[in-house]
Amino acid sequence: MLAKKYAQAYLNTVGSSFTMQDRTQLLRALDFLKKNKRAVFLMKFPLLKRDVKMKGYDLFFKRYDLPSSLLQLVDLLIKHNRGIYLMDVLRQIVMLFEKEHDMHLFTVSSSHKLDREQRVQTEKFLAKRVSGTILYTYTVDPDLIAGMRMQSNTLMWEFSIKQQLRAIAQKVQ
Amino acid sequence: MNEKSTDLVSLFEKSLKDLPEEKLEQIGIVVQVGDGICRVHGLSHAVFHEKIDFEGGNQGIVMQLDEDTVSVFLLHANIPVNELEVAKRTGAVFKTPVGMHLLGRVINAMSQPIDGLGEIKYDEEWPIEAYIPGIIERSPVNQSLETGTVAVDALVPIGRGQRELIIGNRNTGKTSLVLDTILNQHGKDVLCIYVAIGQRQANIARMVKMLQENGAMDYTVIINAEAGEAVLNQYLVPYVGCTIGEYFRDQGKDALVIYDDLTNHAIAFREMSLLLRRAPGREAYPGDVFYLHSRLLERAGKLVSGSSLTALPIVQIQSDDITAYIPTNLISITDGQVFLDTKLFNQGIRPAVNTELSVSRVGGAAQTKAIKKMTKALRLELAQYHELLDFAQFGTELDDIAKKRLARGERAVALLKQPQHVTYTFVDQSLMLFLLKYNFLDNVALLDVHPYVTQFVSYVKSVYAAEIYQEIEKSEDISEALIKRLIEVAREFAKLFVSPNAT
Repeated sequence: MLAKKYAQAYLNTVGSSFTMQDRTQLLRALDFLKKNKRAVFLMKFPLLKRDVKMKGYDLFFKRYDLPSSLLQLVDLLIKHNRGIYLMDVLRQIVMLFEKEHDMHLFTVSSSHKLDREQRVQTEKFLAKRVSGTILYTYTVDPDLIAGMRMQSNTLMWEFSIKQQLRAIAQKVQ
Repeated sequence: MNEKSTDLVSLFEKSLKDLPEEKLEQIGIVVQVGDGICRVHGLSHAVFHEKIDFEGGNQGIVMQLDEDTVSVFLLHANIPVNELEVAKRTGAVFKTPVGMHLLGRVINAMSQPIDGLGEIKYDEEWPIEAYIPGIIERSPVNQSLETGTVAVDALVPIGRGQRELIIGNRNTGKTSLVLDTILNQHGKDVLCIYVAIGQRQANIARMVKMLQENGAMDYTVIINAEAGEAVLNQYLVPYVGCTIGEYFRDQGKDALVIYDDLTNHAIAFREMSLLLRRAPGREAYPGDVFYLHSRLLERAGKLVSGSSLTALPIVQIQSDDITAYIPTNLISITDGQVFLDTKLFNQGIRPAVNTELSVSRVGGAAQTKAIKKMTKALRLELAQYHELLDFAQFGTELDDIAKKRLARGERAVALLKQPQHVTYTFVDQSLMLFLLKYNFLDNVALLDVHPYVTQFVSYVKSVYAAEIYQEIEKSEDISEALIKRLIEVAREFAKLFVSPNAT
């Protein structure tokens, strides 16, 4: 809840200067932090001095080309002893930004790799049904056996053998 | 084995023939699961009480809408739900199938048969939270619902469409009283729904057997959410029962729904509320526990169309304390209460109806004239008797009038005793009460009161069937002329009666 408030306050302050490019970079940075838990731990370790931490953050932000305003937010969090919320705040910033810009991130999973024509058809299908900006991630999921599944945080479309088998299993139960 | 695999193949082929849906489904992702509840991120358009399907096969109902998540209570305790599992909106609130084929069956909160008698053919599906009829659609309670129990029908009469609370400690005969009421509806065109909340399976099995043996299952539905089921089922089951009752009512029938018991229902709701992190109030119940029961019991009533839905909620208390939170709530919601007293029960007075604390606020208007005439002073006489009894305990020397009153009171109490699963029609009851009112029991030994009255009833029924018994049955009244005739018959019977206790 608190993380969301910080994120909302940040977006309200920076306004349109936080761009789509910043979002992409922030996602990459979050991905790195997700994979490197030790780095996150050290960044919020209470015995480390604030200026040492800030130096670390500065390096990290430069590495991922993140806006300087974000560094100010990090400084504020550390100053208020709320460094533990950092990951949540960054995640909330991405989520709120996507919500504000009516963005939908669809993961399109298919049993076999889709060719260009199939991808165009898929994108047309979704564009017709979903308003706003749609971002696509294509994956191959052999578990589907045959068919495909398109899923965002709030919407889903699926037609696959796996789905049919699931329905049958539920009927049999 | 061959048949089974063929079935599976045909099922598979059939499902593959289904064309894919054109629409996108609205989904959410499970972020937390535990204690039969899960929090789902997404489902931003979900509505309160909406049914949710989980990909793993479980189902749930939305019970709370928060800013980012919704809290969904799970319907099945045995189907696991995993973190990050997809939860889909169904776009419909929880509905229960209804139909006349439910009669004679035992089902669970999901309307699945649990009696091993095969599938049930349903007519429709109705939402469990229904519209409550307004005052324009209602008519006053004016038709009696006979319980077959003299103490209730004479002193706390229940009308069709009334909400009468049955209250008492554990093991005071609450369930027996309502079961007798079900038994007594035989041939009276009242369809019964018995809702068991958080009870033991063995008790339900015994009860079903008893109802079957007495032919009462033909007009009864039993809905069971046993103590081991998911808490949501225990919360839902009274609403399911009420919806089935409303269906019967809307078919032009009179329905009787028994909730056994609402203490367990309130406990289930308290558990859910605490899991939802709602603020606990008195006795840790949430603030809206009154509304939980008021919206259920307000659905009972008699309609202008003539059909009715009567509710007999049961509430269990501790140490005969009727001032606890849930009992006081229910007392204020209902149109009266039948209080079953542990002290009376232990004294062998069964049904242990405490006549002083029991009341029926609207049933008086529905009481048949025959019984009404015979019980005019009974409540007062019983009150005087109990007062005198307390006084007599001090060893005070009593005058003749007081002694007479005590003797009369003792006979009145003996008359109101009744064996389990034995019910009396209103004619039987009015004849029994006639004997008391016109002092025919004054000279009868206390032990002989019960055989005396029952034998008198069968005497009138067999010897004076057309002249007296059927006349009362037809007119539902005892005229002055009939009283004069009954006095003659009672004198005649007094000469014939031989005490079974005589040595």
